[in-house]
Amino acid sequence: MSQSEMYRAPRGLRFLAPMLSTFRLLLRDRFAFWGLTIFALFILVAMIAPWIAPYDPFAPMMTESGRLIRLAPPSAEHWLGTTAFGNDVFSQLVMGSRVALRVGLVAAIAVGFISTLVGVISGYFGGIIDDILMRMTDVALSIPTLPFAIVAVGLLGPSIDNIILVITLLFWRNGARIIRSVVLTERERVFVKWARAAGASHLHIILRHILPNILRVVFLWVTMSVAFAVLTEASLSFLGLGDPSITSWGQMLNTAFASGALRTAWWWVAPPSLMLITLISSLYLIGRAYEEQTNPRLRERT
Amino acid sequence: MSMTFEALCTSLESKPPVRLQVQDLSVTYSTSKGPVRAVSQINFDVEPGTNFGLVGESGCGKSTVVKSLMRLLPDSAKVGGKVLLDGKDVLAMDRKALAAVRWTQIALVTQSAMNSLDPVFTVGDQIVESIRAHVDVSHAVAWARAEQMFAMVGLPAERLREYPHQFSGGMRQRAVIAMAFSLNAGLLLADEPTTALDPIMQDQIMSRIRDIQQRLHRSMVLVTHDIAVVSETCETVAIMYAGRIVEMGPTRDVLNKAYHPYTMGLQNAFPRIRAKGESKPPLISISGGLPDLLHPPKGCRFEPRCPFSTERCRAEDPELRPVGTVMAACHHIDRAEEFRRAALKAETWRVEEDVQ
Amino acid sequence: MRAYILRRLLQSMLVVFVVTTIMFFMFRVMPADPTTMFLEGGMTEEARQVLLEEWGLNGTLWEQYVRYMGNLLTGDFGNSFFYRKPAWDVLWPFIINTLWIAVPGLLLGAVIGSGLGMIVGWAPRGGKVERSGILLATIIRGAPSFVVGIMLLAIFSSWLNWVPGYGMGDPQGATGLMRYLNWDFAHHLILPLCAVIIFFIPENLLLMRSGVVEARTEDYIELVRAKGVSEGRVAWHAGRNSMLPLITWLFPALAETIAGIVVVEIVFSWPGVGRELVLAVVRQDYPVAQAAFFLMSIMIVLANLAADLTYSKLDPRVVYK
Repeated sequence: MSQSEMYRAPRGLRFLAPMLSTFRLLLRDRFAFWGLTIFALFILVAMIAPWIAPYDPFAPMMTESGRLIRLAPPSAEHWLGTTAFGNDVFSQLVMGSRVALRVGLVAAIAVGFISTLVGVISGYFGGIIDDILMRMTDVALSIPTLPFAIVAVGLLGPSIDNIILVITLLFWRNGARIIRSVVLTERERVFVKWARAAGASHLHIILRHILPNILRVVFLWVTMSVAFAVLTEASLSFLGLGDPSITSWGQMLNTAFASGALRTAWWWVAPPSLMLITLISSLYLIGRAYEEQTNPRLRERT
Repeated sequence: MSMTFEALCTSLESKPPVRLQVQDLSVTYSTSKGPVRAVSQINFDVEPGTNFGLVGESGCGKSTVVKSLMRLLPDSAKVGGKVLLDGKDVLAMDRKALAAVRWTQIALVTQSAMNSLDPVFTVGDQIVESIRAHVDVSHAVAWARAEQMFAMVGLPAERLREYPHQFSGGMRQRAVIAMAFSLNAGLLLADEPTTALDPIMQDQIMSRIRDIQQRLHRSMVLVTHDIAVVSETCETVAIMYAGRIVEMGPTRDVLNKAYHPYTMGLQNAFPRIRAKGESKPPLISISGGLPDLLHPPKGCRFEPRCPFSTERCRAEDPELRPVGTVMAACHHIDRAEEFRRAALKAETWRVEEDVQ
Repeated sequence: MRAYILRRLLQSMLVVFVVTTIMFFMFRVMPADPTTMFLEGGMTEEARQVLLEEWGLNGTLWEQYVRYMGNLLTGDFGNSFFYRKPAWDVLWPFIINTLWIAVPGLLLGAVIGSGLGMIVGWAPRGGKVERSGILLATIIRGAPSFVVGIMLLAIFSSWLNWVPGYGMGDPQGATGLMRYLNWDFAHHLILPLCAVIIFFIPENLLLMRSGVVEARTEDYIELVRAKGVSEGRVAWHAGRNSMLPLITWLFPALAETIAGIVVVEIVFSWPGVGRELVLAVVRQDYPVAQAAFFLMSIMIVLANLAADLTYSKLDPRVVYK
């Protein structure tokens, strides 16, 4: 802790430096590299989904003689076959990526925002504000997540916005805890004390000195929250509490399960299952690598 | 049928001390920046029942030597040479033979008393574990042996039931010593046994070790950076610098009549036991630090810090050669008398700073 | 120690109280009126009032709240709209069913997971065992529990036809404990139990592995190894120490992990509290939903308390005042 640390306080463009260095850190880990690649692929597919999907996901497929194509196995026209209602599985699968990522990203950013807000206020100001916010977090931590989501979505109505709202309400709590503990250490750093002594406003200190240094942790928590959000949306949809106006992977599995097609239509069941596993695991791989690289006691010594 | 307590004690007491011969021992760590040779080709013998001191500043490789004697180094370390225990090479042993040798033949007193005991087991259980891993005795017999060992190091037997965190630093170190003697191993490795303790406690622990050694006549390798401790404890001493032995011989000779400038410098860095009437000599430290072992200097490794260095020292690596009763690795052994006198003056050791 | 437990119990009760309050107002603030379900049957206003009274829905919101909390203290969760009998009578058989898969599932998952975690953590760094262990655990962790359930169903029930994939069987005439101690029940239990176990394994594995990797570098491990005990015994020292962080992390995560059990119950039509909660929400049977939610909160709070006490048993350094 010397004077040189004062100059480490980032200014201007250096604001993004911690993010970039985190990114570089992650690319060093082979698992994280694959995680990032897979996640990027999912985002790409979701962006161009309407152009890849050959059919409307809800359109019933008809033969030329006007009969519904029910539970057809994969073929040249229908790469992944059709559902019991004659929908094209491949189109549903591709469009489903949009739902997963929309819920995942929007909810995760909201979670990241609230966790950071609560964590920073609680950790920076301390005292009674900290006490109140942390007791709130304690209570929130005792709420069983999925049961709460089931009840809340059941009461609010099954729309995608409500699902995002409920996920946000659920997952801010752990993030707030983690971010608070990081802020507590940052607050004690030399340059923060200097800035305070120099009469800088609280807002200035938080924006200029605290926030840039906790961005990494926020980034990690947002990554994990994407995974939690995708998982929660899929679970709710599987339980029949998803938004009925869109196709999500959880919903595809719900319909397949409910129509008893499990035994026969593997092409209907396996693809959404695989998509969910791949997307969620890729996010976990990123999060794990981050922990491994930042914890000196876990890092491989070579 | 497992042994009785008396049978155990008799069999342990009849154990002879071990002869240790270390031949061409080298240790290389592979790091991301390249191989680092922490120990290069060192040789020494420990006669049965004697104490051997290994001295040097931290980072010189002395702890690495001790760990390699018990094969405790991580897989990333490549160990070469031979470690002979009564003629049997520890480095060539298979797993089973190695496990059988550990603690029955070589026991260890580790460096940091604070963390060498497992925090979630009672101290007694940890001693019992070391005994029962090697001899077929009941828990009760092993416990009785642990009580005996505790009495030997001056700890009350009932504290065996306590956990390490309930012990003070000095008590923990005594418990570790009790554990090390639990099977009366022929060779004891003591790796800076007192570093983590305060000076008074250091003294107590060392005299405790010396007492026990006098009674039990074990062979011992004592690693320390404290020359005074060595002079009180060891018959033979080796001075290590940057992974090499630079001087070795009977302790009295090495300390009274050093041939290597590093040994002279090291002596200055410690308060000396003075003759009556002698004025207090100043404490002088050797400036500079250990060389980078990734890229070791071509010549003598001590050359960059040596106040007497010459062209030859920069170009050529000196070998360990016998001089009288000792061995030293210096090109200018013949000028040792002159060096010894100069080394007492503080100015001599400031040469480097003047140049800069 | 006793004072500590007492204080923790009081804290837990406070948490349960707050959670219950939140739940109560969530249900009452929502616009849905349960009597509308019956209105089509041409219900008179008086009959409606009688029903509302039966369900505790008359009076102001505040009066309803006080009445609800008061009843809760006497173990009265209100009457189910759907079953037309006390919610507690509806739920309580389901609790035992849930515990049948939750408790053995959690314990076996923890034992198997941490055992595997010890192996992976003890394997050479950067080696095959470590890499494949981490990758597999992360993939399984990334698999939603209903996907695991569906896979198990597809393989062992539909395809191999080894075990039934639905419900928990109905032993004819068996009562009391005999309802559970029979082959048919075990047959039904096996798949959902496996799903819960698989759900718990990866988290335990990864946490245990991190703990062991950290413990490996500790001085006491070096000394244990120097003692010449077997390598398994050395690993046990590392594992035993890693259990402490495992417990601190795992039990608070129960709030999330209980989600897995709810989904497993749905997939295997296992008549437990979680499935009943989902059904109650779909049926708008609020008293049952509220009671089920209340029970789950209690389970989490109790599990956290258990974690604290286990921790103090496992770590001699902890002293509670």
